Amino acid sequence: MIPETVIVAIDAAAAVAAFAVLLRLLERPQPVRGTALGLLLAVASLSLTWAACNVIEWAGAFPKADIAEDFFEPLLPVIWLFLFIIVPEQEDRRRLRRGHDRLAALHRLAVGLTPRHDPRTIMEEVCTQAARLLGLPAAVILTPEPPGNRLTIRASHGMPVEMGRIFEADGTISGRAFQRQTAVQAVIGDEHAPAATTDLGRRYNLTNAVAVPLRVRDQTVGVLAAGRSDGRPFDDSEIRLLQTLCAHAAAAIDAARLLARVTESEAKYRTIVENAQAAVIVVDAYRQVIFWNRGAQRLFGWTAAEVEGHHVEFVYPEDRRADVVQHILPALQREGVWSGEFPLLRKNGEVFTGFLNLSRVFDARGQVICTLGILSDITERVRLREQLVQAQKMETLGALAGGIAHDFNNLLTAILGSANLLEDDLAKNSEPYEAAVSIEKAARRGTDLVAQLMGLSRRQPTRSEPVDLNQVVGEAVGLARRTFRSHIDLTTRLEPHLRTVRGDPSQMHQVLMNLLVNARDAIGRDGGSITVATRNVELDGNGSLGPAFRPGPGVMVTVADTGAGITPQDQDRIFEPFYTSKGEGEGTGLGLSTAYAIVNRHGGRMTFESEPGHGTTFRVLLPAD
Amino acid sequence: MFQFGELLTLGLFLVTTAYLLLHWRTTTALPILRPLVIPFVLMAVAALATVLEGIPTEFATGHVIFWEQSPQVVRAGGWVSQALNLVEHVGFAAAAVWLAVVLWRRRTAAEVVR
Repeated sequence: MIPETVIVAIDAAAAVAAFAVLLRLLERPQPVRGTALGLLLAVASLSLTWAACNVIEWAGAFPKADIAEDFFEPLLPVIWLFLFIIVPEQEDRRRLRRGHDRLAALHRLAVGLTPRHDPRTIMEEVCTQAARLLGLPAAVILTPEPPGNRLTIRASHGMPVEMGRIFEADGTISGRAFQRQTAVQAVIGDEHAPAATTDLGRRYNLTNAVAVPLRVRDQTVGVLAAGRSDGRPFDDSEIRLLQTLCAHAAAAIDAARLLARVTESEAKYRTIVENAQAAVIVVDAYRQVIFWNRGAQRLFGWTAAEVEGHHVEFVYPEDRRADVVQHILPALQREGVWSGEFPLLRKNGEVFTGFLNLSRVFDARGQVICTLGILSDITERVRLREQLVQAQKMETLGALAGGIAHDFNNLLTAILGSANLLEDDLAKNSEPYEAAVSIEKAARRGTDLVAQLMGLSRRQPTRSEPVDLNQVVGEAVGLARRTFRSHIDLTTRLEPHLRTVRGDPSQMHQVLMNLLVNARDAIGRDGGSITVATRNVELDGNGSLGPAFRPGPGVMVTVADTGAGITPQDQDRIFEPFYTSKGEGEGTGLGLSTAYAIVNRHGGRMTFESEPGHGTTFRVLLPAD
Repeated sequence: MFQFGELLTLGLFLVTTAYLLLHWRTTTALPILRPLVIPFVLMAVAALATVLEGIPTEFATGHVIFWEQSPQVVRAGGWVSQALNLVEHVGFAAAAVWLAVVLWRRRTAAEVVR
């Protein structure tokens, strides 16, 4: 038999437990609240009453009544039923509403952060939103200070005077959250709470604090710390919300920092490329210009605004565009790079020789994203190269001609000597005598020719003395006036105080005579004028006259005629030895080449301008003595 | 006397149990309801015991004799009645104790520095 006292003792225990439940519920433990709290209070109250009634009945207060069983027991399942039906529905609704509110808040935050590119502004916005979402009086964001064991407040909501304050990582829950990379919360005033957190919390009347790390790409970029004053600890959902907020913030801060870095880098490289001397052009896959630097503007004359978005073919002369498509583009596609010389077209229609360095640019997946072209004007370089080739050709031909002339001179000496001996031995006016005279004349013409050839090859000895070119010009023009036909008008324009040059006066004379004879031959029978002028000039050192040319004071002699001019085909070759545009027997092809060689030998340069039908102007530039 | 209250108690507990089983996932997913299932079951068992005590078994003499007062049960020495009574009281008491323990041990998920 079970004693009645055992049953009563059990009921008393039940009453105590129900009372404890009541006490706990009245404290509102998280997360019991609202309807659930009310229903649980009812369960606890009924259980307490049921147990109490049983005890009271046992004591004999209501001997005939069975209040506990008849009244309170049926109520209990009703309350449980309500608990299991209403609370989930209510919880669903609350969760839905809370989720909606938080999503809306996060959306507002994301929208608010998107246009912001300054990390500090982003942090301020996150602090404000965190405080508004959870109804908190204070929120701050701290970032690590090198070497990483200190944190600084970079943004604040509700704690403006704390901006810039530095904390040791160990002294705050923020430091612990940063080191452990997890959310940490503390009760302000609790003996285990970090000292700095307690100090700060007391100053702002906070009761609870939480710190959540801002993590992105496996790195902690800062910590969001927040506090409240109502005594409630931060529950799971609040911490999850803060973590979501921090994920957004960390991504936005990271993006802002990356953007700042990219912008800075882009500005740096743009400055470098924009200020490059060479033309830098970038075209897309459709060969449309997407970048055009200042160098390109200087080279072509088009501005970036004028050409960007246009097909790049406008930089090539029309008659060479097919070559680009047929040769350069296939090579570029095959090799990825192409470099070489190619004619290019300026805005003003001028064609010049450019050096193109083209390369295709690939992305990480190996797809072509654009083609980069670095172009420069090498017209002058090409001209100098041609001059050098010409000079080398002249040198070779001169050496060859000089070698032959030397041997030939020995032969002619023997022929002349033999012809003189024959003349002495033969009767004058006889046929053999006339033949000997013819041999002597031919040999003497050969000697003259050999002398010219030796002058070309520098084998002829030269004098070096101060030469007044005005005097040389006067003598040469005087000689020309006496010998040239009268329908040629010969005039001179001489610089009164002309500098002297150092050289061989007879060779200078030879140069002028060659130029005057060529001018006369160019004028022909129709008549015209030849103007010889001298002038002091400053020879520049920009290399346009050749790499070996010495800059400084100089003298220029020009011989200009109004003759037939030189055809473009002949212009390239007029300084070549044995090249002549004159008829058979009228020229040896050595006059201009000899003059050219003499001027070069004196450290000078000879240039010309000619237009067929309008005459030619030769310029002789010589350094002053 | 017909023990209507006890039958009602059992019926309501059965309905609640059925509802609980039908919405098992929803109920157990809620942090507030999941720990309440055990106390509810304990109370349900106690209620069952209460009802078993009061089932009417004989109407021949014109008045109701409950199962625990039937000659068979009485001949058994009264231990059945006492066992049911014990289950009833222990069930309710255990439910109350369980609830108290659950409520006093609730914690937040975040690490708390104390």
